[in-house]
Amino acid sequence: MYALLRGGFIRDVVGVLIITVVVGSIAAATVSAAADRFFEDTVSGIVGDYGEYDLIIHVRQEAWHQAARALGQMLRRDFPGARLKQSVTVLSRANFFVSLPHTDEATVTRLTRAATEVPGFAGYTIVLEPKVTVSGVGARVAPIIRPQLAAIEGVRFTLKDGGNIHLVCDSGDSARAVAQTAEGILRRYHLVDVRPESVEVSDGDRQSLIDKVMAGDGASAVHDVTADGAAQEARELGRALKEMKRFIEAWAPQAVITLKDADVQPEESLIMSATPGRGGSAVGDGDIVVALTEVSDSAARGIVINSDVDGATGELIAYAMDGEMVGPRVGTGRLVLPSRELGNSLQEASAVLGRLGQATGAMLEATRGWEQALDAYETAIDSMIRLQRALERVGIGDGVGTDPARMRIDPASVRSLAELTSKALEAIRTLETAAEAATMFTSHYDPLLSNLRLWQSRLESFAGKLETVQSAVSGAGDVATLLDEMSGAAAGILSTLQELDAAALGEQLEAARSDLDSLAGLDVEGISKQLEAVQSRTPDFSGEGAARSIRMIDQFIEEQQESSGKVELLVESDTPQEQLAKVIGKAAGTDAAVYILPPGVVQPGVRSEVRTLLKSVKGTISGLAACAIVLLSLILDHSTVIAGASAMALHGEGTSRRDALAVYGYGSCVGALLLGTIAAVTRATLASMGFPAFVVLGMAMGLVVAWAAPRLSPVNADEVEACIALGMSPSEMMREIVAPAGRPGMLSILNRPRLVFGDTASSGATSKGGASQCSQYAT
Amino acid sequence: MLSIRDLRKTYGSRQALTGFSLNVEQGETVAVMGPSGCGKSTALKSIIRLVQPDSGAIEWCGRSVLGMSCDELRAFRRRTGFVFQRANLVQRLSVLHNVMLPGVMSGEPAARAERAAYEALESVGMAESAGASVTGLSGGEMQRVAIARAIANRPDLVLWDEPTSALDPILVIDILTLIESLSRALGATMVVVTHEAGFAMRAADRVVLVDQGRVVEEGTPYRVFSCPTSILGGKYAACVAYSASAQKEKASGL
Repeated sequence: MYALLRGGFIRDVVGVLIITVVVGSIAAATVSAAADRFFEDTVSGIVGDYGEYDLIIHVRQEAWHQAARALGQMLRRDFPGARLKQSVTVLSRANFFVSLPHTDEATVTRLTRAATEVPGFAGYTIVLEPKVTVSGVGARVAPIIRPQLAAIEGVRFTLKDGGNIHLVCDSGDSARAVAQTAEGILRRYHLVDVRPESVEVSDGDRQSLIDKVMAGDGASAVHDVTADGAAQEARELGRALKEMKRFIEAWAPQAVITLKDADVQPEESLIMSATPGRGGSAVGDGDIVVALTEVSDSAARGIVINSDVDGATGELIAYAMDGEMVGPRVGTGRLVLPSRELGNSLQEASAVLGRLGQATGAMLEATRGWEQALDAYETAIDSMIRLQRALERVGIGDGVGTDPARMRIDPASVRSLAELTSKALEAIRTLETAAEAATMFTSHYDPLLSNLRLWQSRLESFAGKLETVQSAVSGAGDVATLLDEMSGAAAGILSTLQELDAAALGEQLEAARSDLDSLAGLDVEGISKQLEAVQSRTPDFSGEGAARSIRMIDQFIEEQQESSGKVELLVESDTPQEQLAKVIGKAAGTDAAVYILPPGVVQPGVRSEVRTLLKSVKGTISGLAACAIVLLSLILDHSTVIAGASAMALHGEGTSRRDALAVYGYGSCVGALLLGTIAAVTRATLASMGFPAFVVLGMAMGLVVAWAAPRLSPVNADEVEACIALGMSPSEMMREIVAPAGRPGMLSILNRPRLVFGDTASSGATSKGGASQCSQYAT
Repeated sequence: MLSIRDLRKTYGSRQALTGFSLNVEQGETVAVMGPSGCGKSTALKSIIRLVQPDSGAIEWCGRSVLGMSCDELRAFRRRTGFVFQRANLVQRLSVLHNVMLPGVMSGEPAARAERAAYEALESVGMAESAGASVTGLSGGEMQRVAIARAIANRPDLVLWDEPTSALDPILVIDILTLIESLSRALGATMVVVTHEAGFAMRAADRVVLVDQGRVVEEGTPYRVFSCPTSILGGKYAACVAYSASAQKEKASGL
């Protein structure tokens, strides 16, 4: 081998190596570039080019038309220069890609908020590139670490998105360094979840724990980051579930049982039956099974878990339940069926509503006469004044108590008085009718009504007496007394009437009429239908479902109570996690459970990941192509060289041991050189391994090819031996004998123009043809 | 002219040469004979260092062959013809090109090399097949081409390594006759490894018997085959005598 290379063949080998590297690099780069282009185009077709879009807005598929219009308007109005593209619809969600002309925290935040106003909005995804995302950051942890993340060199700005903090980088190249620095920052912090033995942890307990942790070795800062918000939400949820439980209990078919010398527990089941003496019999389909929810000394309450309880009314006997058998009697009870009761109430309400229209009409009719009533009031006052004046004209006008002997009674006046009394009585009756109507809406006129009735009887009595006066007008000795009575009654009536606030009465009657008009305008039929609908939609819980729901709610509330009371601390420490756990465990007490977690996880951006992956794929394809090309070159070219050298060594060209080693050295060196160079030129990678891996792999391939060279490229040893005997040099033998007979590789192609003798064995000439052939010889 | 002294060669644990010594004068034809595996071919290939001896000395015209540089060795080889047992022709080349190889590789102009090749082919009776592929030749023809290749450069030394061992008896006579005539025509120093006692008797100036890697007896063919001094010589003498008596008996019978 040494003789071969020293003899000038090294130039041939170098030439082959250079051309192999060049051609191999071009081929590997072309293959990998084609693959990269294909994958890049595929990815870009789905999610746009790297850095092309900043935000994906997800919208419900059915609303995408409106969403597209609204988004377009919003972007034109609030984000001039922004671009919008609708992409593929995935899982019934239409996706709109938005590209902003300028991105900063305020703009992106404004966009995410504005996006929530888009019809059918179903979320968004931030695709700002290049970026690194720190995920799983608690709400109270973020304010502590976010400023440090924002200060990382290469971070343009940060963006808080739920539990994620996006670190938007200056360039894609800096993303990896940013991710590494972010990981370094996160490594300094430990999210410590301490769950003390006690269920409730007070603020004092927390502070005490923090002080103890700080006092221990290792922690340079401790922050209380217990997620109060989450705990509060859980408590709210618990309360809501309790309300729901009460609701279910209120509407589920229930049994109220009076216990008699019985020992029953909640969640036990009882049998309710109208039949006495059921103890010892099998539980039948008609038996009512009650799951107890509350038990006191002498009473129990439970939910009926049978669906059919229609026939069960009145007092029932409660029996214990012993598997499939009815147990001993434990008391008596009755069923409470809220749903049925509500149904009955609604039916009654519907019937009442039907009668309401009729009653309203009557009342409205009554109020319509209030104007007449006021007229009657005026008429009554006028009548009473005229009555009083008539009395004066009768002769008693100068006052009560005049001497009757001097009285002179005018018969015409008496007749007039009788007429006026009759009119006053009529006016009083009319007023009474109006007052009666008014009392339907106000009690203010009740005293007036009673007075009117009194005066009505007096006037009637007075009218009767006037008839007597008229018949005995000439000499009646009791006229004076009668006139006194009349005068007093008329004055009292007049005074009362004048005290009456007729205007207020009018206003109240007007308001009442307005209300009644509204009442009369009600759609009674519609309301009735709604009542029927309400009745049909009344919760009709099956007892079994209600009992199951109540058990689940109880279980949740119980677990919620158990899980409360944890403390979350953000500990800044360079101490190893195990040691820190010991310190915190010691501070929290032996019974406390301590969990130490990272405060967040660094995740490179999806696009960065895809890009990295594509780069890796490209590198791997380059690497594989380089391996294939190098292997091909080793088999086609260098195995021939190795086999030729071995054959020469066998016949005296060098010492066998040295040459045996030399062929392996040659193979490994050529393999390493070719693969290493092509890999370096094409930036190939292989399973995340870099240049050294290719060098080692190339060496291994070269060694294998060197070992297999005599089989891969067999050389005719007799020919070599003959050529040695003829005094040919190793290079000449390689060029004239070995290479032309070897595999058709780069060596064979490059060697062809240099051949002194072309391939003449296949000429088939049998005659003297040597002279013609000799013209091709080089001199 | 050619001096070989105390040549030793070991293949693994097997000793091929155990002190082989031989002197050949210029123009002399020496037949080297011995049983199979006695080291004849090894000794012959050692002369042009197709086999590298472990020790000993080989001199050609007073120059140490083992001390030659690569270039000197190649020059020595070009001036030496070597005929192998199996011809060892280059399969991809035609008959003519095979014979031209030594001339072209020596740097001769192609035309001269071609002319010399034709002459050599004519001398072995293969000029008609100059343009033919060697793969289509018979064994005897191949060996003739191989002989032509060996003598095309008109070498000073021709080494024959059992050139007839792979041939049928009729071809053996042809080849041996050819060698005999060439040895007279060329005037070159020739060392012929052979099992053919008759050929040795006719063509060789001297016979050297080799056994177990060294020369056990040498002398003129007549002396060696009539008055052997070694056991191997005796065996060969018996063979020759047996062959001669058989011929006499057949002749008297006729």
